[in-house]
Amino acid sequence: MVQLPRDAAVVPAVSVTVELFGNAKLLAGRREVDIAVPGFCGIQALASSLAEVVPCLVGGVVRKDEAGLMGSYVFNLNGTRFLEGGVVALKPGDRILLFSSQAGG
Amino acid sequence: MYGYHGRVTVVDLTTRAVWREPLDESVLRRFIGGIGLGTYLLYRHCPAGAAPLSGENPLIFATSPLAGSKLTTSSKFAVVTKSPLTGFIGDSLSSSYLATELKKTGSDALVVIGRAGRLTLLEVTDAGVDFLDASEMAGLSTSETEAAVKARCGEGSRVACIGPAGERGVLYASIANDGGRQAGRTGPGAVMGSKNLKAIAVRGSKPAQASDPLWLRNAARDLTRRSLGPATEKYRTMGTVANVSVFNRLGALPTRNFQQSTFDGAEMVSGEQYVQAHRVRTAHCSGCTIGCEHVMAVNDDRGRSEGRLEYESAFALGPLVGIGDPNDLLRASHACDELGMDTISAGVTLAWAMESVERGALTGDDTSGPLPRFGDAESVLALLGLISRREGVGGLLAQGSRRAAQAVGRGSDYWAMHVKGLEMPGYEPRSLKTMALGLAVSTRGACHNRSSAYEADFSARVDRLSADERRGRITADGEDYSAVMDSLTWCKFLRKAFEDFYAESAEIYERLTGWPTDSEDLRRAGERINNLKKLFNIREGWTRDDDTLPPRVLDERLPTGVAQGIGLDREDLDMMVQSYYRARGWGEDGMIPGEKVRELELGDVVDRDMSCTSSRESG
Repeated sequence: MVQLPRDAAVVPAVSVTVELFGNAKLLAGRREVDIAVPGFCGIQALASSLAEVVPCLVGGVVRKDEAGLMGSYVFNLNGTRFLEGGVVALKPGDRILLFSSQAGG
Repeated sequence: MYGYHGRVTVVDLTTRAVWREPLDESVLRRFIGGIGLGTYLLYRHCPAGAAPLSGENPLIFATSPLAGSKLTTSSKFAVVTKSPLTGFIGDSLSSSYLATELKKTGSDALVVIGRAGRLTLLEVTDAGVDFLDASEMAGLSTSETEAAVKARCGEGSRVACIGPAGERGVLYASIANDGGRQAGRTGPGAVMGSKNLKAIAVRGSKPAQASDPLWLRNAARDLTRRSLGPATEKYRTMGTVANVSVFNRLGALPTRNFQQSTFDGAEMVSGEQYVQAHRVRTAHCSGCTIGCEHVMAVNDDRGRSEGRLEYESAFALGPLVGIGDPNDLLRASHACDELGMDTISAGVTLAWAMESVERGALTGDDTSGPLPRFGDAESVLALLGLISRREGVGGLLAQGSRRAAQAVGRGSDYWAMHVKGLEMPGYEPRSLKTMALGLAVSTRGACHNRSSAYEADFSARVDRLSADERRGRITADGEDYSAVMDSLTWCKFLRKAFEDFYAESAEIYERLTGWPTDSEDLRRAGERINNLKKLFNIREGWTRDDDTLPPRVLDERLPTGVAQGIGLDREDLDMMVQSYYRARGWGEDGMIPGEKVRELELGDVVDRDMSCTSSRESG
């Protein structure tokens, strides 16, 4: 869990790239999108920012209330860390990967 | 008895004798069905030290208590034998109508021993077993064989058969059923071929009864609803081939014989590309609501080729051998299905050969036939045919990567990517450390399926790029969970639809059989089954040195991608293996103490003398 700094509310937004895989990529019709999110950011903020830029993902990939992802999906930061709750510190240029949560095959 | 028939049918191909043996409640409750029951029957029926391709080695088809119920994904059966690739337990699973039809013949399992005098078709019904001449089917592909058997025995028959690869004894030959499904790994097709058994036709009319059918009907409806939700979306919308682009991005896609973990051509052979450009339809196993089968077709100057495509086939006949053309990849995968060969072992063995050619370890002086090179699809397609006929260099490659490397020498064992003789699946162990452990310790060799250890690596539970001692417990728990799934039988693609897998499965099992069952009963059964598999291997010559990974994995760091620079050294692997042995309650040498055998109620099954000195060479 990332400890929020006292002045988290004034941390400027950062631009990150969401890479889309699987059905999310097919629905969006593209492989990546840029979104603006707070520098300290949870799943909800990532999902709602993504929904704003790619509204066709709402209902299938992003929850209808935009409070997170549908159960089939998961975010990963820079290919190294899966995000399943809490808050993550992001910096400009970070890449958020959007995968299916079903790993096997 | 509910849920089961309480008996096994045994067929001796040498004498043409057929008899039934009882299965009592104690056995069924301890080993459940599927993989568990098959393991128990293997231990009972396979003499210690039996050569895998001898008549002594039994070929076991085991059904399960859930097969024939209305519960989604449960139409599965296990094929269990002593593997000609590894000399250890060889267990594989397949799906669809054959599972339920076999159970309707009035037995919970079919055990085939001996060797027929000529190529034979067994016709198994509830009335008995007939031995039919199958000489005219010699050399037929798997689909041709299935059609020929149905023409002879009736369209209502369900067929398990081998292709030319099994007839010729390719050590990684598979058994096909129901339109191209495969009991693929560990070489059961070679065992079937060694028995001169071309096909089994099954037709029955005696389903097992359920103790509480009304409750089960409601449970089936609820599970169907859940199976159509987010827990299975990947499988329904794209299938396992969706893994190609994901694994590539994560630096986990084995490429060019595990020299790399990213592939420049991944996008062209990705699931997204196949679904958009090549998918013609989807299909289901019998009684399955998920429908993970995505059938792809290609059409070029070589004609039309159509078949399902799974991730493991895509990795093994694509990036692993340097092929980035979706047409070529699909043709190679379909060829393996028709010839009756495991795509993973075929691809990994070909990749070994390609690197051997590159390094000068395999030359035209060694053998005849085209020498394979990375990216050369024509040589791959030609070699698959040669392998199936064991001609020229195909005769060498038909033995699998371990034996081929032993025969060639020149240091080529370094790049023979197998564990215990079974070729590695499409999960790069250096960037998936929990999976690395699962591959090293699996009883059937390099296997992703029997532990599902990758699940931890694809989650926030662990750092997939680092090793630690928690991996032992994670892997052991994953193996026990998988053993229960593979014994009940459930398809693993359903796993995330359960809220509490053990509790829900226990209640379903109890309602089916009428036997009081709780979560701990099932969890313990999973542990018992995995221990019995290990005990079989110990009897057949397993030593601590067998639980390892290929030298390349332990010596080389990944050169590209997000996992660039990541490796797995021997000390870390040993640390994880020891943590696994501790989690299992085994000794530091991986041997199972007598008190564990007794605790798991295995004393009546295993031999008192565990110091087996049997050879593990194939016959």
